[in-house]
Amino acid sequence: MTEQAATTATSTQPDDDAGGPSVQAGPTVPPATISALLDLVQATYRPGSALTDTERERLQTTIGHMQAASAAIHAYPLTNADEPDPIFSAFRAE
Amino acid sequence: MAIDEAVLVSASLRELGRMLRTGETNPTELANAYLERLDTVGRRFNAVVTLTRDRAMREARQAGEELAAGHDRGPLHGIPYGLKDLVATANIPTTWGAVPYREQVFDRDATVVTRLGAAGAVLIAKLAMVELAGGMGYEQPDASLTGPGLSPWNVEGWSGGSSSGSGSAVGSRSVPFAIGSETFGSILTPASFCGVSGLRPTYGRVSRHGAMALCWTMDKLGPMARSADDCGLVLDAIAGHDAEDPCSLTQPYRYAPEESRSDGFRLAVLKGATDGAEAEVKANFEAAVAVLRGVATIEEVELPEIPYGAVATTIIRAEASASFDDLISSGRISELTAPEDRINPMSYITVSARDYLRALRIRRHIGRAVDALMARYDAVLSPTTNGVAYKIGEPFPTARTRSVGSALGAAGNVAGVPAISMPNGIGARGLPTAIQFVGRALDENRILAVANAYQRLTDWHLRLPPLQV
Repeated sequence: MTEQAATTATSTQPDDDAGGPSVQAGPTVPPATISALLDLVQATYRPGSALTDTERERLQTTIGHMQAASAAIHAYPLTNADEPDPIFSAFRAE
Repeated sequence: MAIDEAVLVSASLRELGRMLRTGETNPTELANAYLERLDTVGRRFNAVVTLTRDRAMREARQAGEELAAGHDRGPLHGIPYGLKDLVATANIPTTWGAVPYREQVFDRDATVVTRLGAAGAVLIAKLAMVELAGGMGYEQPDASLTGPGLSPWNVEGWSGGSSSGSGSAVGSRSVPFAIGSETFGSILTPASFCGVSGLRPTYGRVSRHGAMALCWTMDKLGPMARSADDCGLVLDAIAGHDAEDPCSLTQPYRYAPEESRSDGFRLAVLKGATDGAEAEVKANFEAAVAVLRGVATIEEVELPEIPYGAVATTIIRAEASASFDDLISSGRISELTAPEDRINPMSYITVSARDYLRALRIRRHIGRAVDALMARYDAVLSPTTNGVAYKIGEPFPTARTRSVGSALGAAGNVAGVPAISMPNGIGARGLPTAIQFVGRALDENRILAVANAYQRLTDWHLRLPPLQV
């Protein structure tokens, strides 16, 4: 694995919006984080075969976007009492 | 008898309904006329995947017989429509706009199709869409097995996505109405770029059963039509609880235009709503607000500081990674049209369970914050998009700019609240601009009342694309 340049994190809009990521400058994502996540992608979807340079470059970018989203949601304060809205319900046949 | 072309391109659902009941036309003639128009005009904009001619003739014949016998199913009886090709139809291909699913055929109709059938509507086409509803991260208009959707107002402009064909078919007046879907912007954006009215209902208002799942907790189905009133009539037919959709709302819905107010609305404009917008978008939005001041009090509001876009991104990508796990894991994403769609989805696996759940936890805060804001108004306004349709061949990252309007889109979709987009003028390159009204959960009738009032005071929704007349 090659050392990657530091990636500027970005915040994104989802891609079925008016189109593609909308980029805002954000904190820098450590290259080691990007690299480790790229390894995860490769191990999951391309075990035993190398990613092309094009694939690698694009994946680094999208992973950077998602890390930026992660940073943004972790900057928002929550407490232990903050639950997600449940969609699960216990099932019992009639 | 032959239907006048001017009627085909301009009639409202109520007008078509009147003609069907007075014998000026009949459902078979109407279906044939729109099938012909879709096959010629609609195809110019890459709006069509499949014409459902046999089914249309069968449903039209039945509608004609029922109307003649005095069995009236309501305002959609005998009216042709098109369906975004992510909604299942029995024994007719449902491609999801994507090459790997080109041959996919289901053996039963989705709930929304069943409900439209019960209302007597006539399915004439499956309409084009961005592959997999745009969930794979497309960054250009050319991201569909049927080619890039084109705006009826200028074929050098994109129709918007992901309900591309629904937008351009309605915009080119090739169908009276269509069904689209929205996870984040996929009804409102093509409505804006194609100059039509598009209604995103409250999450759970319309059953998703039988529709392609991209993001279970954010996917919505809704109408795209020639006016807000038409959207209300369609929503009335398709809304309602469905036990087959676990997120379906139990609250009933009835469109109630007779209860529409024509003045006394309480509206709010999102602070900075036109920041970064194209000059014409800004001017047309301000003109629309000026019109609305005649029937409403209008205040300026701000959205609370919450990372709406990041929450939406995290939820959509985490759920898309799961909903298309088989496609991504098998490597068949390599068959998708847009090169970036063949690669991007692999990265979605990097969204952790911790982050997904954190986004869902923040979502609760967003729901309450949005409700507290919306409860004070009949609608909150902003431009639907801060520019006109992107140029075909221009990648999105260089085409788009950012505005507060997109924050309203993110907040509205994450919170699952309703919104309607309607044309409010003409912008660059002769392309339409649009305004959106966003409302409180379950308050479709309130935003429709505001929209109806706006469309009574203006005629932008009646303007026809120059290529079509």
